[in-house]
Amino acid sequence: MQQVLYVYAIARAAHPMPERIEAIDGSDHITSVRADPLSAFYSPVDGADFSQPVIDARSKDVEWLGSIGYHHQTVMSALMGGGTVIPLRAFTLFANETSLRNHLLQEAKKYSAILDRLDGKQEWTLRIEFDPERWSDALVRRVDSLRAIAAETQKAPGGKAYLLRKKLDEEKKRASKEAEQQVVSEVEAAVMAKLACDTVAESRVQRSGGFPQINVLINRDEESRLQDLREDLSSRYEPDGVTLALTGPWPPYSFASGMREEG
Amino acid sequence: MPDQELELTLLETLDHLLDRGVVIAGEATISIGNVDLLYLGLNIVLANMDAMKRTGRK
Repeated sequence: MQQVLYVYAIARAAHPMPERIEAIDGSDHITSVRADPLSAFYSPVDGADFSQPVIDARSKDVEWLGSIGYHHQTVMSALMGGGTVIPLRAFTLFANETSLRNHLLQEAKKYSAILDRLDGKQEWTLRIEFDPERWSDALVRRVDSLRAIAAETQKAPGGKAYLLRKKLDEEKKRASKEAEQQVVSEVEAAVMAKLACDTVAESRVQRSGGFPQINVLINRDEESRLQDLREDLSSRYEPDGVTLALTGPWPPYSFASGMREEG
Repeated sequence: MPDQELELTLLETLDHLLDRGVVIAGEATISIGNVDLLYLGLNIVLANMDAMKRTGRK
């Protein structure tokens, strides 16, 4: 069996090993490579199971994807419990310990700077969800031009009213994107005003049509302030059919990418 | 946890770990012998995950 190393995260050299955790392949093989001042946590896996053709073939297998996600996140959560980590994207593989160790040595300064920046912090995600019908109604209230068409529709005779309603529907679609983005900007501004933290906002386009979201990096002891803010914002936007879902804490996936290397 | 909540949690997890985190660029080859570092492109996985998300939100 040709083994490769499935690498989860990079941490400082003395970062504790998590105990009794299932690895990415369901085994209990989690170990580390140390190259002071850093270490990297990995599991040795069968290279055949983690080859490109196999992963491509299995990528449509929801159960397999779910298992990967569950195991990877379980390991990451356990590592987070021991201190600051730099999470690597899933399926980061190294051929052997020597190459992993060399990588740590080469990039020690950059990784150490990232760890310093992430110390004591956690990532949370605020997903902003728009109920289609209620948001559509809210648009008429929020957007002057739509309000004007709606008012004209009410006064218009039958045929004209029909045409105005069609016009209103078309204008709503055009206005919706901009209005959604305005809500996202308002939420992000509120987060930054209350918590003075780093944020990464993702639009619907960036999320391939999924709801927009804002990832925030806050101090570990600020969770309750973020929860309070979410409740305040939820009250503010609920009448427009907008809800805010808060998930976390996550490993700092969205904020560790100072190490993104060029091809 | 209700099934729908579990599915959303799984999708959120996959969204974080498949699409974010530090990317270590390397040679995208599957010939392990002479290559120190492998990074596997996940475009197919991500495309399917988007489809999963849209299905989950119906």
